[in-house]
Amino acid sequence: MQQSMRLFLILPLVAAILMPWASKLGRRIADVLVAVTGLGLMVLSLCFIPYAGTTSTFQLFGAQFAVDGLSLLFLIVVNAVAFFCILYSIDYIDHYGGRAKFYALMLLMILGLNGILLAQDLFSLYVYLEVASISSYVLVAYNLKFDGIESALKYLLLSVVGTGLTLMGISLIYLNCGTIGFEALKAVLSSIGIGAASPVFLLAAGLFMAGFGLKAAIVPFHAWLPDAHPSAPAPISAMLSGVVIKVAGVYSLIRIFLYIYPAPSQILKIFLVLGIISMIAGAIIAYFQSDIKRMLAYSSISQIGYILIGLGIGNPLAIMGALFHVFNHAMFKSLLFLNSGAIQYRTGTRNINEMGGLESRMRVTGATGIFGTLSIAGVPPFNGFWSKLFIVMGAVVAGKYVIAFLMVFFSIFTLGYFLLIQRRVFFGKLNMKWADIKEAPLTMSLAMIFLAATCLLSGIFFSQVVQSVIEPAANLLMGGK
Amino acid sequence: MLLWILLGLLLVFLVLCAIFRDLLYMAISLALASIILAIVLFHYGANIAGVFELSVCAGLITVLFVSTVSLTKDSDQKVESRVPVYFLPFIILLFLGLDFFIVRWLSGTILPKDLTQQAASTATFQSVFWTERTADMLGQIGLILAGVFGILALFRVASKEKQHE
Repeated sequence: MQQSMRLFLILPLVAAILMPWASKLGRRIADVLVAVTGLGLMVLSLCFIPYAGTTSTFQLFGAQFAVDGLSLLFLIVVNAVAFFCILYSIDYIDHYGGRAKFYALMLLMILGLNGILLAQDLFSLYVYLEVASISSYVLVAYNLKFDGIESALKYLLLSVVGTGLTLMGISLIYLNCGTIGFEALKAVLSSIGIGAASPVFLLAAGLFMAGFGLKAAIVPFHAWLPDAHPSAPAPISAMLSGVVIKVAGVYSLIRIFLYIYPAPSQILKIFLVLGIISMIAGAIIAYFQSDIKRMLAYSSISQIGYILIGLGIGNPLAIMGALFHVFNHAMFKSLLFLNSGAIQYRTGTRNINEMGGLESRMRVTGATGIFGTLSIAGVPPFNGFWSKLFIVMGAVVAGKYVIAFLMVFFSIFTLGYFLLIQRRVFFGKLNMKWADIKEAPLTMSLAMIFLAATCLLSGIFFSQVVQSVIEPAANLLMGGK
Repeated sequence: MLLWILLGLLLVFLVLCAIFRDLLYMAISLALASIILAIVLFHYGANIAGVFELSVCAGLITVLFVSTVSLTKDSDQKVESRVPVYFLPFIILLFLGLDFFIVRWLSGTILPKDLTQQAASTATFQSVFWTERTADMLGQIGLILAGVFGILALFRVASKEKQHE
């Protein structure tokens, strides 16, 4: 079984290399190649669920990689969302052109994300972060219009600052510890007894926080995200919001600050403060947006805030809630971005004020959109309810009642503005401009249906999801407690 | 003395990279700066950093840059504002000042010197590239492919236009 872990890296790489030839053989061959690769990766990640409580290592070209509970959770998220986005792209990418190049870049982005999760040292993590980042810059600019290229450039420039800061942090760590391997670093840090009090380690922590915080789009490092999302093709917005900000940002922060570093309280406090600011600022700014994808982008910032709050509270319940919210947010936010993409695909607009009554013409998009809305707002029995409940309960157990109240309040606020938008987009009087529009094509509708079903089923069967995937990851971070 | 010359040349090529109007000259300056930086890193025994400077920066980035430039038509070149160039000397001075203070502060706080010396002295280019950092080789292949597909994707419309001409 361990040997098949290699496929997480080999499959997307080989498929990307073969893509130009597959495309020459025929459009459908390229579609089949990318879909089979995506499906294979998702199934492979699900096959490892029984081993979630253990750490498995494997060798590839003489290099060591590993999967533990934490990386498995993120591997499932990455490869599941990637498959749904690939499925959606099959019909969606028609109006952009360059099908083979789009698929190849998407596969390379998946390779980068899987590489981040399997890497066993900080520098490899950085290298794979760059693979995912370079692919995503191009994919954001894929429409080749001014706004796409401008926002891709903004994303690139800010990311370069972020990765530069990260690299400086890695250099400082290497200079002081003589190693960058996760396990070796963990051992060195605990053996020489260097905590957060050392100025060099505090500086390195600050660099990591800023660098990965930028990737995670945490306020105040979020400036690239609201521009990058609207311009990108919908499946890429879904990947960026559902997966990239979590793996490149949140996973890296968790791996460094809750696994390698001895979880210093100063860092947890910073998580908490940044989380609260992100949750509030993201939700309030999202409310005032008229561009549907921009609104979803700000909402992502707000939801990342919930995850950070859970990590910052730091007790088992809150950490479990934060990790569960990583999974849930990936599912419902990807769904909502795919919904917005389907609307734009048919109407050609992202402006909420120009929409109205679309539900009568796009029933699948409308119905799945409601699933996504109820999930993000934390309405039972959808998955978002349980993860938010865990974090709120974690805050109450830790005696942080104000934070618990704020989370509940902004959850209701989220429900409010999402329902308002649902009403303006899907219900009410049909704008006659859209009288002739049809439902989104088959593969796009299928991807939305699968994601909506995941949101509902992972909510109904939340205890199974928590026991099989979330708990092992949380146990790893809590040191087996 | 040689080291100071190399550092001076490094600074010159980096400044030239920022000043040049022509993208091709900028790319060549960047490549030369990367090579000099790699030599400096090898000189200090930082072979891992040297390997990556050469393989990633001087190699990949420059190849991609020159490919991009070669795909750009003369008519695509725009006249840029020269205002940033006037500020450049002040920014370089500010950076050098900050760099000096940060390095001085760090050199007083770095703790286990024996570990870093040990890490620096044992590694060679071959051992680093072919045995210690093989995990990154796959990543580098991914980086190169992402760059190649990226260029092909971003220039896909330009190529079509060219065919029509």
